[in-house]
Amino acid sequence: MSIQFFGQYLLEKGIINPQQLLSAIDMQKEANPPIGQLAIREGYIDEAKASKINREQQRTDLRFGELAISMGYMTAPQIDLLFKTQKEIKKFFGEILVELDFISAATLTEQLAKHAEIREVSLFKFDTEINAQRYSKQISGSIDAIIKNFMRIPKIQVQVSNIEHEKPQPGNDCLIISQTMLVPESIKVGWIMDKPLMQKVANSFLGFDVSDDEEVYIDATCEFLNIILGNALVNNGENQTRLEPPVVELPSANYQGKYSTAFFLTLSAAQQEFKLFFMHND
Amino acid sequence: MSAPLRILVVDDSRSMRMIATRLLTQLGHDVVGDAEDGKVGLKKYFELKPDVVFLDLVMPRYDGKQTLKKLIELDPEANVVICSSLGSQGDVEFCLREGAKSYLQKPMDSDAMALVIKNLNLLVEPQG
Repeated sequence: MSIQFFGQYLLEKGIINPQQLLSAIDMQKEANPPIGQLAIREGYIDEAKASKINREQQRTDLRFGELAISMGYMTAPQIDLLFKTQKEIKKFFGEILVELDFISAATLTEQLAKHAEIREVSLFKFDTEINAQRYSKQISGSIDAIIKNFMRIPKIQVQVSNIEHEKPQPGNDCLIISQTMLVPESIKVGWIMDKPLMQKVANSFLGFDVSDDEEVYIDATCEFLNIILGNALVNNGENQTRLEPPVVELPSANYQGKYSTAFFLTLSAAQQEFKLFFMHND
Repeated sequence: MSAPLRILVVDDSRSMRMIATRLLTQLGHDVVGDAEDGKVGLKKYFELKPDVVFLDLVMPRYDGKQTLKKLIELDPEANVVICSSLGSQGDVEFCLREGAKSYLQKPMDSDAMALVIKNLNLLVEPQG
């Protein structure tokens, strides 16, 4: 999976223009109806029930199908059948572009290969621990985006070496940089990093030396996190996403704040360790 | 060489404004101003009348989506290029429907910037 929406990639490359992108999105929406619309189309539920489920969805983080079953509107086999139908009729964005004659089939094949070139990174050995987390999709997406973004900047390779639930006490030279993702509940994601590593990250990321300007290297480290989390949300296929601007905190005993659960990873970059954390409420 | 474009950079991050300015300058354009949020960005847009605005999305107070809507409402001809860490289909769709001319996903890259600028079709080759 890439960390860039294929349509935006083609737009950036000038292969399609904004109007073509929007037409293709329209056609894709028509061709790929959500489960709720399919359920109406197949006569399993009516519009009133579908809107009730939609309203319930906004309150919980449950899927349409799960709610339809728990509210007694549909059975599990019916939902399975809808998923099968949805899969059968699904059209990919690229296929639609070809169908609309915006690009040729040969261009599609060539560009898909280029788009997928970003190296895949396996978090395989930590899968069980990550999957046990409530927001496993956001967590693994974020770690993946972190590794991929560190790879893009020269000279710094990052590795995950450990996962723990104990809250580490940051050293005095460290800063805590975090952002809140609203998915829609809030998850606070951030890193605890010492200033020398921040300088290295910032210099590499910006491509020029800002070690002497503390304000700039802290700001660049914040922006690097912002890019990573923005990319992670794209990776996870979230639609319009809300990401609050980065916040810098000094190390303090109560940095977990209002969040009931925390999850820490030890990562190393440029032979120095830092902690990445995810905090949320159960 | 085509004539340089006059560009305004709106981004809350100082380091991002620095790097955008550096890359755009290397591409031969004039960064005529920058702004740390949408409100200041709008004010500078009408003061400076740049050819192109590079606009970030995630910003405190007045964010990029609000700024884009307001800017296009006030000047439907504005050439806005979104330059953001976000880039999901919904974000791209929203911005293009609101009138953005293109969409770059951060991290910024000189080649991608050059291509996006070229595809705005604003560059005028000198005659003769």
